Amino acid sequence: MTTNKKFLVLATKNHPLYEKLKTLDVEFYDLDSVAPFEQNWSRDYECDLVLDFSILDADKKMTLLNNLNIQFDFPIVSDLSTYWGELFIEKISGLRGAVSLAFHSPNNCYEYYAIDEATKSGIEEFYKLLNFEGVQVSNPGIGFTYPRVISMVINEAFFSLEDKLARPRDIDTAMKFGVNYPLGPFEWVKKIGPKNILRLLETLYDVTRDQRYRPSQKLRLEANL
Amino acid sequence: MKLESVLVIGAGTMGRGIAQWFAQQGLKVELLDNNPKAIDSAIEAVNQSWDKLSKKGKFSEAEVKSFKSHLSATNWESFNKNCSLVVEAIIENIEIKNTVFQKLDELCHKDCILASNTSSIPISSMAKGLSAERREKFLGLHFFNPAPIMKLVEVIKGHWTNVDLIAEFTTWFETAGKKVAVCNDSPGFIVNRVARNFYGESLRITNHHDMEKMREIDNVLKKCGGFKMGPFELMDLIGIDINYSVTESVWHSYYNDPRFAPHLLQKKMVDSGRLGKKTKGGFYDYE
Repeated sequence: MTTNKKFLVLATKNHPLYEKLKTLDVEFYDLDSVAPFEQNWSRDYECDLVLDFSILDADKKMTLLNNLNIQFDFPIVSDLSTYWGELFIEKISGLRGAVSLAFHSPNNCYEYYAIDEATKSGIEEFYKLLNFEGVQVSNPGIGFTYPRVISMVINEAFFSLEDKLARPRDIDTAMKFGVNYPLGPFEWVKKIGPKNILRLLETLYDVTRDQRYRPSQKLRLEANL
Repeated sequence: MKLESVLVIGAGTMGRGIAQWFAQQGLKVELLDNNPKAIDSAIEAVNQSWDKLSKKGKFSEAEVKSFKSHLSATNWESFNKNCSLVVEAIIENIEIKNTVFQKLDELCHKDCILASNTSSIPISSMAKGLSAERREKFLGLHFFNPAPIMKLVEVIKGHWTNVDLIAEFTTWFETAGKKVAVCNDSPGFIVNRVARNFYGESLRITNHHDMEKMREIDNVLKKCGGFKMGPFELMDLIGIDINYSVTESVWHSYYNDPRFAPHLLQKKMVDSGRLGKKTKGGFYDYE
């Protein structure tokens, strides 16, 4: 798949799609080795959309996006799967959209948020390059919808392990054949990565201060192995 | 383990489904309910279901004839006291269940295994009133609706349940084509605990009755998450009151842990009588 649009893609290595993004026929920057604001961009550099796929602490992510906003006049879209997207959108004027590609979708279908039609069409074209489908949502909220719901389901599965309720394979079987989940929670965590789930739960806790988002100790352990 | 005959107590949706499934496995099944009319109507419904499945080619006529011959109505006086297994599927009320199990403990042969299809009552709290010998033969067998179709059985080990019995049931069910999840005796067991936040978190994302937002959440979870149904359409199908009651029960059982807290919107829906499809209105309208 090729595109007429010119995308500038920035990613950190810890993004689950890092390897796939590198293979696209787009301008790609590895944020672990080159900070975009250290890059000497020529004045006549043009692109349609800057896409940020960094996974960083929230304050570093905010700094990065602010710097991109200063550096570029082009619309920016960022993967805000594990962040308080609503806040980022409010604070950074050049941030015109958000995607949620850090959470594996069994259907290769991912939420996105776009402020304007041009950003929407840019995101949709970029999803096509990845062979993904998109679903536009009205607000990125905190970690969109699917990442937030699945993280809470997975967190509870880890709490169940802590309580010695059942073995992981029994929990997976129960959810797949009792309520028709496409994957068991422990199969899901392997696809998404425990670090991203932990990161989103911590964001939810930081924003809401609600104890319901307390991550399970077993999940913390898994994320730190 | 050799199971030959089963007594199913309770002729409601779950009881009749469980009876149907066991009869399809070639076991002699007796169905008992305090309301004889409920038994007749359950057996008629099961027979109709088999006839339909036969027409669809799922079962042969000979198979259906055999299934029908395996399923019969009974009562407390005449049920087979030497049956291999009793599965209780009556109302979720611990006092009523305890009365039933204590009666069964007295009446049934010492080798008979007693099981509850409860989705929320601790297995050990039902076993504690039984004889010491029977407690070891007491376990949870939690089927999912519709029992003849849904593959899962949660096999629940109570405090006194013999571990060998759990292993034997696991093998037996797996051989019969079911998927088994073994778990300990804990509120909500696996499914009703782990699935709580599929609903709870979705309710918190919308926070109030906003049909467009609920439609968006349902759509996202089906398309991106691969779930068969979205949380709001599923709650409407199950019954918002039923879902709310399970949520409250699990929440209270975990000493009001906020992870399981019901959402105000659920209560508002229940209070307003908008319970889902059954009242032609819930999160969505069905008029």
